[in-house]
Amino acid sequence: MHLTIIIPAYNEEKTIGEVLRNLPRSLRSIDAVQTIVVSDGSQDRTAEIAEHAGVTVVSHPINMGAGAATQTGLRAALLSDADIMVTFDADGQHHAEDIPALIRPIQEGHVDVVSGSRFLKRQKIPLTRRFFNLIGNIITWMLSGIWLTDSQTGMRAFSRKAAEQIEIHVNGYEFCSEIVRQIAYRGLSYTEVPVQVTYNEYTKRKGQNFATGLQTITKLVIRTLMR
Amino acid sequence: MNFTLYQLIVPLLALVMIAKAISRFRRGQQTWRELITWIFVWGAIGFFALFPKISDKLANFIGIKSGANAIITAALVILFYIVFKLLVTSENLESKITRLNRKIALDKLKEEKTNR
Repeated sequence: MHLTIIIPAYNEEKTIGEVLRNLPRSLRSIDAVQTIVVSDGSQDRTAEIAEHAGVTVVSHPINMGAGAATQTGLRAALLSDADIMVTFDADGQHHAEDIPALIRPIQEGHVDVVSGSRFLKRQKIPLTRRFFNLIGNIITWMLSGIWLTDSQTGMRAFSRKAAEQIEIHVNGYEFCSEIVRQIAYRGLSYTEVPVQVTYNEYTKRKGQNFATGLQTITKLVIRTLMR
Repeated sequence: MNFTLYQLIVPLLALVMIAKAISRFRRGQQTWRELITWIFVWGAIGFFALFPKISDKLANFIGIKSGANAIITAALVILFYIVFKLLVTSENLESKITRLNRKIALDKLKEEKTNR
């Protein structure tokens, strides 16, 4: 089995090197591990650092957003012979040690999509994050009918079948809910697995904040109305 | 019939806007549909400014109290429609740009793969 780790990155020169160093080169019962960094129109040295690290780099000429970058990463992975695809954040909030547990349900052939949940395990997460995630969960549930404990996670694993079927049409952070909606729409099977996260000043600044969160909600609602 | 300043200025403004729309259409900067929409919208504004009594009758017919209310209601409906259409258009544009962006990025990757 081949695993491809997809890292959407926009101006992450401070963290991308460290993130790539921590990723596994090989895993048990996985024949090959490939990493693809999608530089989403980064104006800093993100792409350069990733190339130096020896991973595949796909570069958007201009910045389009996390959703667009994730979809490009999935498409790029499908060009190779990847059997399992994992999306992983470039800001250093995720832990590479969680990858084996994340992909196991797919390896064993149980499910098509595995969602890494920050809330299935006791850990320090800022209260505001918990609150906004709850709102995100409720909206996602209303749109898709699927209840997840962490609908806004950036760490997910997809089987090749799932990656071929899922098509993210939205560019911004609303892609998290969009993926869940597509899981429901295409009748894919899914499960959640607890993952660790590290919150520091950097990751807090990089993720969604109140303003982008509002924007995300508006876009989701508009898209729903337009259908 | 007593003419107020408002009854003079608004129809004149409407005429100017229609003239501008026609000139844009002639230069090929506007489609037929846009031209007709402009003429209809500004024509209606100018017409009801000139003959406010007719708008009162129309309002009574629909069930709204006064002509002014009917016009404002209609304007709001039209504005909502336009904003909505704009939103759809900009979303479509954004999605086209994304697809272009993705194609450029993936084509480059394919090229690198074949060169290797």
